[in-house]
Amino acid sequence: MSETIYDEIEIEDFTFDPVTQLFQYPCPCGDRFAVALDDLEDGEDIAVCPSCSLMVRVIFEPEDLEEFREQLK
Amino acid sequence: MFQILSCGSNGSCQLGIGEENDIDQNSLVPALFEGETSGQIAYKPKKIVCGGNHTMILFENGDLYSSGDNTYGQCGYTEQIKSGIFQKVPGQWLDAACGWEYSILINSNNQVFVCGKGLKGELGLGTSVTETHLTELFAVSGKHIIKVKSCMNHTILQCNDELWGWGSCRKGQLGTVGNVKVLYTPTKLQFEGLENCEIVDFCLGREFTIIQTKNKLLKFGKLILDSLPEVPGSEVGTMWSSIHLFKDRTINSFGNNSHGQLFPSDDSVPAERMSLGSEHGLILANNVVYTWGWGEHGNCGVQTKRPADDVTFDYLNVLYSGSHKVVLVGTGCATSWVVIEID
Repeated sequence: MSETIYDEIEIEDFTFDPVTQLFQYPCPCGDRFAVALDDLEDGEDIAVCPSCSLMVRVIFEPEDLEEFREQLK
Repeated sequence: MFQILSCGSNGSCQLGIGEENDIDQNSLVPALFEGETSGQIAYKPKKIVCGGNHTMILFENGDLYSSGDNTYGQCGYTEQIKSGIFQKVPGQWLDAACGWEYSILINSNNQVFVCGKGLKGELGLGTSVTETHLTELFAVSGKHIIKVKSCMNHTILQCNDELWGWGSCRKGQLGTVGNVKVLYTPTKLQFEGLENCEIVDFCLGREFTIIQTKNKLLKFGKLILDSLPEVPGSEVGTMWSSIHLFKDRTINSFGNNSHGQLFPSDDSVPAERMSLGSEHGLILANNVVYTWGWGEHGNCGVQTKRPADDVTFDYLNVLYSGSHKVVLVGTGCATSWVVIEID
């Protein structure tokens, strides 16, 4: 397994699903990188693909998350 | 007769190798076609294009077949196919391009059709995001459509000396568009520095566009490079996060090398043809097909120089060395394609 980060992706380029509370972005394998809003709020910044070993770093500021938290209310 | 061999990611049956065979393939096996389950076809494939999880094969006689994820109609037909083999798309076609979950087709009347899903204007149909039926986007009257190319979220169509585009443009991949993030309808594109230049070719990466003129390359959008290489007379290609210049039977690569995507020039063999997927590539040299890059789903074959579970192929690995003549190679999102001619 490779621990190399494949790329860095801005949070604005992810799709946010208020139901699953996941941010997702296409992976070159055909699946999607995913990371939960909770995890980003906890300081995690790595999104992983459920189908392969690739990972991306999410580029964001903590205040970027507020609008997504608002969507859940 | 021809046989289309494939390997790699097959979670949505995008390899078209048979019913419920939705597992990764690390060796080449024949793709199967509706009505022709021997795996041999009479017509020669002209082009293989791949979306995130679907594949389209265009034949020289205008037939178009597709396989893979059809949740949003991106395969070009409406029924949900369960058999996991290639089915014919109605109509006769001149060109085809695939994005993440959508397809763009051009017929001999210069009509452009779209199908599938796109949240960021990928269909060019305004804010309509899903079109499970093939839908005419526009027709070009009195002009010849030269070619169409799509990557993840954007499409560019060359029509004589004009470039038209639609889809995601936040990173500048569709040129100068003003303060918008998405072009929802086909728009005549303006690229700084391209004025009065003859367009030789263009190619699309995940969030960038490369335009080739007679004596320079122009880059638009997000692709991290120290400087733009100048290799006049090259054939230019792109993976999702790198560019590759093919000239004098070798390839010079620039960009993301996290998983061996840059061409291993130390192993150089006299390449005659190249095809580039999302993060891996194929070359054809002396009727042998070699592969390199990110091969986690079996799309680069079986490891021969690194541990078996290593996903990086930073060397040229032989994918096909059989006796049949290789007439076409293709690549997609972790999928590889080798077309052979059978007597």
